Amino acid sequence: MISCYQLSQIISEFIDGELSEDVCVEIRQHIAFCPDCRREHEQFLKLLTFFHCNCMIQITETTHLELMQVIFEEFEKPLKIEHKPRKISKKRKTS
Amino acid sequence: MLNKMRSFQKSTILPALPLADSELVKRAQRGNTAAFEELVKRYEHKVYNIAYRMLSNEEEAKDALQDTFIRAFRFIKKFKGDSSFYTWLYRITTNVCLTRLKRRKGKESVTLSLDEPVKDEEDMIRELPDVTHTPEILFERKQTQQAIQTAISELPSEYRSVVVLRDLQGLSNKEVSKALQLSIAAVKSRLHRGRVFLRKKLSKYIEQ
Repeated sequence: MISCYQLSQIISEFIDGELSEDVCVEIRQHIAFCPDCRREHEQFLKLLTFFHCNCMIQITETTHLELMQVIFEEFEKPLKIEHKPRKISKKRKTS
Repeated sequence: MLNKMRSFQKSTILPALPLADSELVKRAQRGNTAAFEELVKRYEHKVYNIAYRMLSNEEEAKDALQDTFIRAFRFIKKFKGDSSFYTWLYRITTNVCLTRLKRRKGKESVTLSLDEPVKDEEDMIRELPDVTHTPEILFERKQTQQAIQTAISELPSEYRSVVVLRDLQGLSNKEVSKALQLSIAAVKSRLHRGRVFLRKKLSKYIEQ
């Protein structure tokens, strides 16, 4: 049976549904009998619920317009032409 | 200036039906500024949210938002479409934020104290409607949100970017690995460590 330490290492993957069914069955059995690991599992689930409930911040119209303004200025910038120095060939033609 | 901006915005009229990101990217690569603006409208909120969660500062998040889209505008022609557009855009966002965090590290401590409240989000518009409006519940929710943001700001930056993209923005492990150019194993490991860290920091709220 899976140990508490082993479970603590893979609990994130278990919650994300990324483990094989065999391992998941073992974990469920462990959680059913181990109050500490059950508590840990519940806390991780609650943590993720917090994240999902955490509201998405919408930007204001002013912020959007400021953003479009800087992109517009970028668009208006003249193209920079890089003047690369001419490579001087080291080989000299020998007559 | 504003008139010029309007003409920039209306330079090419897009069809009424929403276009796929890939189509907008192709058009933007051909110099269609209206297509680029549509991409901005689609992702500015998400980019801002990533930046705010990474930087814990409203003004810096706005600057990071601008830096991200300027870079995207400059380099859109180099985007080859190996990943989705938003993964590419989020990679730029996290890089911009990590650079800012590094710069900040030299000037001050990156982490915030637990006693120091994060910037108030009261006047920001929220996407999700409040189902419950009693002052007590709203106050409690606000406190929890502040605690979450403070805990995130205390995460080491390498864990923070993974947690923000995976748990707050809802990207898959594969998308996070592409956005941050990490292996999937590294994403999983950092995500787990980040969650363990946050579980400890937020134990007061989680154990309730």
